[in-house]
Formats: sequence, C-alpha cells, structure tokens
Amino acid sequence: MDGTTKNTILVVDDNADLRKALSLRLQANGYNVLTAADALSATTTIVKQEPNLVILDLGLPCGDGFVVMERLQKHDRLAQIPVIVLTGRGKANNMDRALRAGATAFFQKPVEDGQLLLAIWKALDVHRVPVNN
Amino acid sequence: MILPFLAEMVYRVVQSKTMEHNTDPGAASQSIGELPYAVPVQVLQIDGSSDHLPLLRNASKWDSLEPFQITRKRTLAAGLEALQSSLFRIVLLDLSVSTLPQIESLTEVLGVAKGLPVIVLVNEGSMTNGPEAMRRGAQNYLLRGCKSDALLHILKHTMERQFLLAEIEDGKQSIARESHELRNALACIHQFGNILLDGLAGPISEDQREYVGIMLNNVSRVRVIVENLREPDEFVADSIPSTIGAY
Repeated sequence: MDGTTKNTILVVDDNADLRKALSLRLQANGYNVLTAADALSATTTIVKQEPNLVILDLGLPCGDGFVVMERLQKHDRLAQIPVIVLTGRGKANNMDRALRAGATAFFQKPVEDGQLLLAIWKALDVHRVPVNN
Repeated sequence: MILPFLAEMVYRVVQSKTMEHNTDPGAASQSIGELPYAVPVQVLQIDGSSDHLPLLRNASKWDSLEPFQITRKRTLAAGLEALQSSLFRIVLLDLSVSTLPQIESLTEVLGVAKGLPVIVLVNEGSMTNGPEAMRRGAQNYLLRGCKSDALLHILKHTMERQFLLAEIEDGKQSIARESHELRNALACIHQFGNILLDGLAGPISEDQREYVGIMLNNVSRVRVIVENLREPDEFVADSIPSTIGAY
C-alpha cells in the first residue's frame, strides 16, 4: 500500500460470469471487489461493508436494483455511496428513473471498460472519503 | 423495427382468420366461426335514450349479435356501478346519458373502464361528437339507428384490436426479456475477451490476440443489432387502426 487505501467496489449482478469478469477487471485496476447476486444480499453487504462504490444491475432476484437504491436513500450515510447502474434493461424505461433514484451513472451492457472505469474514477473522486494515514 | 413488423404480422393473421370466416361481405350477421378471443363477449350499453331512438334500425336482429351479449344500463351511475362489478369487455356509451356535459360522461366512464374500449353512440344530428370523443379517448363511435351488421362489425373490430394490443404487449415483453438476455451474454463475451486481450489471464500469442479481436469485433456487430431493437416503450400501437369509421 502506498499510503492510500484501496477503494472497495461492490459488484451486484445475478450473472455469475459477469460478476467474475467485472471483478477481474476492477481488481486489475487496483480496487477491492465484493460481489452480490441479488438485491437482498446486495443491501446486506452494503450495510455491513459500506463499499466506496456500487456497480448495480437492475434486474435482480429478491427485488431489483431500484429496491436497493431505495433502501440506500433511506440512510443518510449509505445514500452517499455512489451507485453506477450497469444493466441489460432498456434506457427508455430505466435511465431517468435510475438517475432519479440516486444513481450517478447509467450504462447499458455491454459497456466499454474505459467508460466504466472513467465513471468509477469520477464518482470516487467526487465522493472521496478522507483517508486516515 | 421488430415490433411494427410483429404487429403487422399479427394483424395479418387476424385479418386472414376473419376473412376465412367472412368471405361474403354481406354475411357479417352470420356465424363468424372461431374468434381469437373468448366468447360470449360482454358488452355494457350505457344508454338513457328513450325507446323511440333505438340503437339498431333493425332491432329484431339482436340475435345476430350472438358472440356479443349486451347489457343495458339506463343511467350513468348504474353503468359505472356495473363496470366496477362485472367483467365487461366493451362499453357502448350514449354521451347524453347523464346531466353532465357530454364529454364529461365519457371522462367518467374512461376513468372507471380502465383500458376497456369505449364506443360512443351519436345521433345523426350530432355526428361531430364522435371524432371529438375519439380525441378524448373513445375508441370509436357508432351512429344510433345503425344496422345490426354495422354494430356487429364495429364490435368485432374492437375485439380484434384488443386482441392485437394484447399480442403486441406480449411481444414487447418478449423482446424486452430477450434483449436483456442478449445484453448479458454479450457483456460476458465482451468482458472476458478484453480480459484475455489485456493479458489479465496471462500472456497470449499474436494469433490468439488476432482471434480474440475477431471475436470482439463480432460482439460489436451483434451489439449494434441489439441496440437497434426498439425498446418496448418506443413502440406505439398506432400502426393498428383504431377505427374503421363511423357506422
């Protein structure tokens, strides 16, 4: 560690292959990665682990991505965690709704790695958590 | 792109089915054979007009409306109550059924009918009410004193349209599901392809790099196709004629 702590990103997707792919990509870019496969475990992980950022699919078992964002918005501290929506669902129905629900960015799958990493970097920069050295 | 095609296809199928059963244009009052919807179809007629203004010119031909069972309510309040308690599929509405301004009667009925098609009944002297009612949400209008054939035709058309809209709704849901699944699969191929290319899973040879590149190019091509699928809400069912004209 070079005096900074690694940011932790929670990847929420019910597709195990995609969770693995995103985890590999994010780890290769210096992030700690947590994963969750459904809305319930996503919420539990966020509450317990308080990741620095969440990459959230919308179509999930046990609720959906909107349910997760709704729950986060009810907590002052958790509501500050940036959420990037990465979904296979259509933009027309979901993008505005997701942004209104608190998402900081919305991407349709498949997303270019560069775009996703840039959005992560920007979101973490805006929501920078002071690091205790 | 896909949905209008789907709609047209379904429309043609229904049209051809109707034609099969109705080869003689004058045979509208005869048996219409197998219909793409369950019969009998319950029709609610909210009509307070006096009996010297009958709905049908040839009132003795009510029997020819066999697939449609018409229940008449003579006041707006009774009509609204019936709408809430029964499983009607079509509403025939006399706009002057209450003391409310005519269009307000329609608004009241549309509010309770929750998506049911409403056909307004107009008198010969007030034909302009028909198009105005359609602008406000009625599906069609019917001239009071029409022949039973005309009523049957308009009721059939209304049910066919409802059937098509349901089919289109199913198609929209299906495309949404398939598009979602395709995007997930593409995302996996895209992500892992790039992981290989970037050497995150170890070094790869030049040949392997070329082949993965070809694979990713094809992922991009499929992605364009998926992105060109019109999203369900971009599709408007206007391609189905809402009316076949007044009768």
